[in-house]
Amino acid sequence: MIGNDIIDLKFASSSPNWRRDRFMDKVFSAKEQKIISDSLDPFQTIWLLWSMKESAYKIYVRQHSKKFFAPAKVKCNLLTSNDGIVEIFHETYKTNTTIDNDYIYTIAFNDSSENIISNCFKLENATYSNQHFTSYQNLLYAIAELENVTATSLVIKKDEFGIPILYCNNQAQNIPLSITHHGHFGGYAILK
Amino acid sequence: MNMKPEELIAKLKKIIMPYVQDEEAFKKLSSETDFIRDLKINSANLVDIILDVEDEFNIKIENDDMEKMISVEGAMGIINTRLEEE
Repeated sequence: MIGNDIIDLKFASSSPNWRRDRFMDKVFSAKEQKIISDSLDPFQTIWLLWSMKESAYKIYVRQHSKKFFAPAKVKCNLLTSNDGIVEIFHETYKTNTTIDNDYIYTIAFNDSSENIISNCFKLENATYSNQHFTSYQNLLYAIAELENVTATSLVIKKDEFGIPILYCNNQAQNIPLSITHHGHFGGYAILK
Repeated sequence: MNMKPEELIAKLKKIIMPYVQDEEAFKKLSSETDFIRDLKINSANLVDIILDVEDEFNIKIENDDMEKMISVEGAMGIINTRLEEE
């Protein structure tokens, strides 16, 4: 299974709430708050952990068909500065994060042997319609190339839990996908 | 302390408005409206909404309550429960 999440760091810094103590308590456990305060760049670490939580949560929703909002119950452990483990109730997921000056991009997966294709990219502008259109378009072109089909035969629709489902000529496909966008960045992950 | 549903929904709309990314869905807002699926609110902004709700209504939303703060109905339920305790 697969999940991904991107954070535009400039965009994230424009919201003042992450500086509030209440924000920290609602999103991070005491242990995670310690990881953040001990880090060289607490702001970057906040969004590193956030993207780990969010990408792992996307797999959880896919596996359990259950939505909730409980960031503090999604528990992060960092193994290296880029690799982590995320626990959600009884499930454990692995994560790998790319940290750039402008964005943080995490993919979450069940097993390191899984064949994952992922990509992140800059967007022309940060309007929702452009974020959505460009991210979906890039993903559809990538799938078309992988599966050797025309992009016009493909459609992605979200189900009631917000999980993106791929259709080829109106037939639902068993190819797990994850799409993300935030600010001026977008990304996708495909499980082959 | 109890608040009329229409008064509560008007206050809630004012709080969520800055984070809404689908204006059409916002115009049609009802109790079933889902913050992420319908209004396309970014999940990081859900925390902002929860903090703003705490400030506006002068209540404390515990982490267990937060789980349900994903729709208008869920948010109204939590706000009412906490207001009744005041």
